[in-house]
Amino acid sequence: MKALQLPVASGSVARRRWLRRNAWPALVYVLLAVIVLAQRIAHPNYGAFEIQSAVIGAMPFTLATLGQTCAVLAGGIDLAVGTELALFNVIAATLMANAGFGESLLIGLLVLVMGFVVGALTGAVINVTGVPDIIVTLATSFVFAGVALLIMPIAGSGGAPTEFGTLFTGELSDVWPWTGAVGSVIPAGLLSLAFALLVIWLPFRRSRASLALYALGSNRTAAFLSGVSVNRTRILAYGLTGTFAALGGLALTGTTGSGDPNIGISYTLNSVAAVVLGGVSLTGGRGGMAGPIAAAFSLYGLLILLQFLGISVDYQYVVQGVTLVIVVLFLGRLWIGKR
Amino acid sequence: MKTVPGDRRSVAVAPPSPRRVQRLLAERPAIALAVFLLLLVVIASILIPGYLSLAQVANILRLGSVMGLLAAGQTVLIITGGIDLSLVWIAVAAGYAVSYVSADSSVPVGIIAALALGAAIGAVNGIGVGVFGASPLIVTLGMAGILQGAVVVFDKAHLANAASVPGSILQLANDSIVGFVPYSAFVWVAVAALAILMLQRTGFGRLIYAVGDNRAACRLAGIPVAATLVAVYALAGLISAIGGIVLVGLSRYANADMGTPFLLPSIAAVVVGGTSIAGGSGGYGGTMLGVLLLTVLDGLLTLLNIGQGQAPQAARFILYGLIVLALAWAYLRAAQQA
Repeated sequence: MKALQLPVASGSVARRRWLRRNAWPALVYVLLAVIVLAQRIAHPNYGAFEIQSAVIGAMPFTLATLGQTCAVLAGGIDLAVGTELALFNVIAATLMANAGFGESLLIGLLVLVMGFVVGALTGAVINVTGVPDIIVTLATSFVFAGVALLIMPIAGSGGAPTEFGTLFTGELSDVWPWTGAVGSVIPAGLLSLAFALLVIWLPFRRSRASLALYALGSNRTAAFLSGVSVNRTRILAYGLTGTFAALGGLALTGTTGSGDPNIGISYTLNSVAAVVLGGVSLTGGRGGMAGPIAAAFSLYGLLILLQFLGISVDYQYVVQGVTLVIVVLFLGRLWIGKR
Repeated sequence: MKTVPGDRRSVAVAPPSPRRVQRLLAERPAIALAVFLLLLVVIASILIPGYLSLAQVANILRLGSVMGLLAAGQTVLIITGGIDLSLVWIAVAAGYAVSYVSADSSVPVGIIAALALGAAIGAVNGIGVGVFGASPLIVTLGMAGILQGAVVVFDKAHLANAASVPGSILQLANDSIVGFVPYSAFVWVAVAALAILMLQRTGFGRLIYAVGDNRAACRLAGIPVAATLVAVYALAGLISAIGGIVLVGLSRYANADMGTPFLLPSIAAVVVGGTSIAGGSGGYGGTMLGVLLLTVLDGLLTLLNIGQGQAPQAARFILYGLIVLALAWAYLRAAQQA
């Protein structure tokens, strides 16, 4: 039997498709570069310290954005990603308060598993009830916030061993001495992002399950008719969201050395902003991880730039809001119009 | 609603025994909610001796009026298939406008300024959603950020010469007649009557349901969808500004945090009241019951004072979440049965 002949895209078509898919994320990286450049110009002594503090500050938010991306790619949205992050921040800080370094790593692993389970449960609730994602996650955001408050009534309690904090706040050479001089200017916080991408996202992206996730996001009916298990895929997508949120909670625990049950809501709203700025379609099924990562760093970098320029941080919400609206109203329209 | 075979959304689930309760919920959600509310009040008065006092009723109505006004615009928007996450911030901005403009000129001018501001911000949201076709979630999220920032910046700039809230507005939000009906409740009832009349008895109301039910069909039928959406968002902004005027009276001075306690509950009340987030169905009557339900529950949890420290707050969050989820599920199942 002759194998099915697929029409092969000619060179120019393939190139145009590549451009169409990657032009937006590439633009976001240009934006990030411009912001970093502006930071360099605005700050007289821009150096390793400034880069380090930017990474420390941006990491929990970036990881929450990765989580939100998974939910949005699958055609959903997770309004609970921020309170979930706060919940795991509180859980980790409580468990690690008197732990050694080895124990804290085990606890970290446990928290990641808990993140997957809690996220998967969210997906399962959406499956069983059939209530829209936005309402279910609005409800779970209340529940997570409540549980976080129950576990830790007073913000700033708990703790984490110093070595665990170094994983997020030190330099790469503090974690791996063999990286030497090169490692001494690379923030160790990037390790958690690398872990998220290399250990969780890329292996997933190479699996059939990720194809199912994109299929579910772009057209649920078509995905179902093609034999995709809608329920299982949704559970997996929200499981990944929970895992990334838990990793974000660990990053927050590492950088602040304590827990804060009230920190959630701003992470949720900003993660949605970063996902959209990162070129992921809110209707699902289109986009990747590269864009949202750059978008998260850009949104955070903008705040740092304001500080460098001597503008009060009170303007941060205005600047973020204006950026978001401009991007969505004008650029997004241009881009989507071309697809 | 899009359905997929195999997805539980479309599968007709075998009816459980209390089928009549479900039918009641499907056909007359208001009655089911009212019964639920009544039960809650009965439980409260058993658990807490002296719960049913005039002061308590006045308190519930005071808080309920603000939440009800904030949820009114939200209900109309959710019926059109949209949502506005900036409504509470519009209310806060209106609260600032009324106190600062009133201090400069007179209270009527301040009120007009606040209402105009609310309608204008709402119209901007409407242009983003209707004309530019952007996701309402994102546009209004951005607007919420802009307003929050503007309020915080304005606050810092006027720390030394903060305006006080005019006496008449303090009176409106806090004082009652015959001991238990706050003046603000009259504002709420008036707005509610107008909103329900508009939704049920006017062509514009029909348009709102039609746009939420099937936007493409509306466009094909020659309905100016974009203009309708701009008008609805502006209207929601206006109603929220009314809520903001009462809110600033209730909190006694304009501050950036005064809206925060209402941020999510004002959306939750709409869902609890039976308006579908998918658009095209629901009404303000249900939302009003939702508002009363959440306010009574809130007061009950405060009075019960479970545990120590933050425990009552935590219990309140968890119960809120569970109630929103349970009712959204119940409505969906009831609608499927019907």
